[in-house]
Amino acid sequence: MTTAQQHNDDYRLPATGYWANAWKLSGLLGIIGLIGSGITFATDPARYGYAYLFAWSVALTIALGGMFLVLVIHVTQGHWGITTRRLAEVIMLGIIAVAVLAVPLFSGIASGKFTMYDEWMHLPSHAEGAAHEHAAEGSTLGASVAHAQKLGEADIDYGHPEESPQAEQKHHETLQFKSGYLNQTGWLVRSVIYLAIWILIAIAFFRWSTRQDETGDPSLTVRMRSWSYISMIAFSLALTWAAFDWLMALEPAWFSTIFGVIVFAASAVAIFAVITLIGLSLVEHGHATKAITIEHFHDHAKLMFGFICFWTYVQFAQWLLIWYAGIPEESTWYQHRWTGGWQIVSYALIFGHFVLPFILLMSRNQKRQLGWLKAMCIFVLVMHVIDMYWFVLPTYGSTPRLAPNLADVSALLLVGGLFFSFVFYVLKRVNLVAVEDPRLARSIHLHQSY
Amino acid sequence: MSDATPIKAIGETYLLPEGTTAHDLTELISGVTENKAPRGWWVLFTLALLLLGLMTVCIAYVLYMGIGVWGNNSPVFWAWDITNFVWWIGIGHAGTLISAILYLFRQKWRTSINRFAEAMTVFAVLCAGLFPALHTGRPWFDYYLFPIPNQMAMWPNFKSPLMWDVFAVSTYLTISVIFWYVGLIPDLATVRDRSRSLLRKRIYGFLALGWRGSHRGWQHYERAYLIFAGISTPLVLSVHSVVSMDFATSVLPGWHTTIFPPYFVAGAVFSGFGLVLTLMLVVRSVFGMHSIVSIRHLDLMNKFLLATSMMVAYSYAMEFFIAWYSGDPYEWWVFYHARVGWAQPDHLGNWGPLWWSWYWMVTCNCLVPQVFWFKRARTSVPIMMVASIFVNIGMWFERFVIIVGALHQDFLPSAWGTFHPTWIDVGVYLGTFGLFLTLFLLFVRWIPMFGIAELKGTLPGAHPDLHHHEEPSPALAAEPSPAE
Repeated sequence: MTTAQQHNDDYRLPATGYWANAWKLSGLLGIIGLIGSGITFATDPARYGYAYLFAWSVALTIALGGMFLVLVIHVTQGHWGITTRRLAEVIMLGIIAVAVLAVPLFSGIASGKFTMYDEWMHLPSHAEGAAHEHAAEGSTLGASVAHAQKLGEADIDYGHPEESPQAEQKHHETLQFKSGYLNQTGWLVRSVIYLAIWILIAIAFFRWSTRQDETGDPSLTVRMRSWSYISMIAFSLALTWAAFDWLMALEPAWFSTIFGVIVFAASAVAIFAVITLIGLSLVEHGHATKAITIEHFHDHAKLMFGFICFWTYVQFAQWLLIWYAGIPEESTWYQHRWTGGWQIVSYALIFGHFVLPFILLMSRNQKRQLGWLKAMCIFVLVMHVIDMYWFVLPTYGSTPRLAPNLADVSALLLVGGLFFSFVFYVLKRVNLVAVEDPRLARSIHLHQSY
Repeated sequence: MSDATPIKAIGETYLLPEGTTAHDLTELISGVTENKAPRGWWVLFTLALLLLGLMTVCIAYVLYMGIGVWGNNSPVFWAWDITNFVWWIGIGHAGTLISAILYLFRQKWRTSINRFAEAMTVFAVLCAGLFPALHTGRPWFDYYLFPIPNQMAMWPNFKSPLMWDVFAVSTYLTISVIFWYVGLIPDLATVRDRSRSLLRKRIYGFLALGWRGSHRGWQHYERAYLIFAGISTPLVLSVHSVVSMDFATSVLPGWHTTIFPPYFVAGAVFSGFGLVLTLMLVVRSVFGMHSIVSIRHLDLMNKFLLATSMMVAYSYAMEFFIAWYSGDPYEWWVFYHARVGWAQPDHLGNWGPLWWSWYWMVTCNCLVPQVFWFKRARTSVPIMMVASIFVNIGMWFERFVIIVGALHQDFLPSAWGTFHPTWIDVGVYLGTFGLFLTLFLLFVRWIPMFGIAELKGTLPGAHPDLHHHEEPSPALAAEPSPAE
């Protein structure tokens, strides 16, 4: 028996106390959310569908962020993150909860209660579509361009193709063209494949890591490393197409090649905020205090800062290129996020998701003041939630209108509560730290001059 | 157990051969500047001078005749010149990535390649700058690009990405030079202190800026180095992002796509690593630096090549998927017809005349690096030599495919054309290799080509924990210490 096994108990959550009961608290929030969800779903199922998709995207991005972190630690063979890797692994395993929570979402969509993808999922056939719309003529370009050409510059009302029958016809044709990819069966099959890939990765890496806790076999480290490369590729391809299918397809005529990278960047920001918050709270309650030190929090804060910059970079790249080119097919996406009150949210993201954290997390002192870091992580996490809200909700209704309601809060409580309840429950049953990782001692004695 | 002690059970090894001392490093690296140059260096230097001569002749001819001597013509107004510009700028990126980003990520293996790659950055940016400067047609008016009062009362258009390029590239060059030089100071002082002749002492002494190796000096140095690393990191991203915007802000299919900025950055790092690897293999063998640039370093560099190749492949995949998904017939034409040569021929019954260049690009950039999945390939010098040359070729073709490929067939078939390079195009491009290699060979000969001080920092003895953890203190005994 190694010294580590003797001290395993030090890295277990005790049977009582704050963290032992965190899953119950989280579950309670989920139940409150369930009640709210019941009420709001009964009132307006279509609106609730959007709220649920938003909340589910928040949990999804956090779980995927956890997976990214676990894989990247193996790929790079870094030792800075060994002591917090278990937290990331548990969050990564939360993808199981996300998959379970997808059941109501997918069945809502399949049964027609949730309408966010209806525009293309229940596309009238070509003949049917043409019957009640004007005959096709002129350009084979996208809807908005045809619209502009028809009506002349003065009449262009960017991004509202429904206002002209010709434009609607073009829009219909575009969706018809895409129906080989954007159709209900394909969408459901792909969705299941994405989740299956992630669950497979999550379970494999979680199992290997926890097995190492018991056996102390260093070859498991080698095995995890060798599988991490291919897993990283599978993970990122699934994430990209999931972002296309679940978020980009909310506006089926719109497209952007960088979209998957943007959703990935959002996940990466979120995971560093979540891990830091959980780590700080564990340490505050006297758990794993020797393993997770200020040096680790500092490193996580630096990476969070870095990914906040990366998020800004990719978001800015998309915005700048679309703004500069000014092609109507593309600018609709920003039109929806710049009208009907959404301008405020867009500004909030610019300042809250970039400017403020950039200034308030830049210096070394700010990152090492743990109270300050905690406040910043909460702030960044809130901004991440707003970010996902900004992805989903502007597509609700025929014209974008910022109108948060009880459905959003309920869905967030329901999905977030149950997700974290699962995560915290798993956390209770494993060591808080990968106690037998060969690099653990090196990670504990992390030194940094900068 | 400390950072300095590799864990054998998971395949870790020392960075430098066991038993290497600080003195060995000083001798080996300073020796290059002190001893006679090996014959290989003279061979390469002669070749470089010949190419430099070729460049001089070709550029003189371009200046005398005008850029009409290039193959550029309607509709392909940007061709080899801009392709070469983007290619050379990209080459520089590995240097900044290795020196700045890998430093921030505490990747100590970088110390065996960073000095070398930083120098390449500086020389590559110089080569790159030549092309747009010449392409203006009247390079003597290039100062119009800067926002300075001039006799025509003209002011640059700040909304133009070409303008941003001027600032991005010149900032990049400035910071790269300073960063490189700051890192050089302690090593120049080392060479100064070993000098036997007064002239050497004077020259290296002047360049070392009075470095004394004092505690206070090191403290300032480390701080400055960190700050420059912090400044250079966003520059790695910004420069090639701005270069990508030269294309992506337009509405041309094949140019206008939102993934361009990160895609160009990944491609730049990929191509930069390719050329660093090619040259590193040559220099390593000419100067016998096998102990400093070990197979382990080369292995890691090949992993980097594989990773960045994947990112580039991902970007290609995104472009192709969205070209179809967008439903835009022009996008479809550029990607599936002009590049892949797929589907229907055009109205004259021809396939796109440049489809073959796309196959070069994909083969070199996406397929060839796949050999690096195998450890045997990552540790075989001949294989990596060939692969790295393919990467250099492939990344040149990538820019060619993007630039010429998108321009030669745009919206109106009546405006289509193709492009044929002239021998002046070829001469100027080959000639820039002469400029690059001349500067580079002078650098390896006269300036310590590896960071002596930084390499010493990776020796086990430099680690503060070396003796500290050999016997666990009572306080540490309470903590888990597996595998010990």
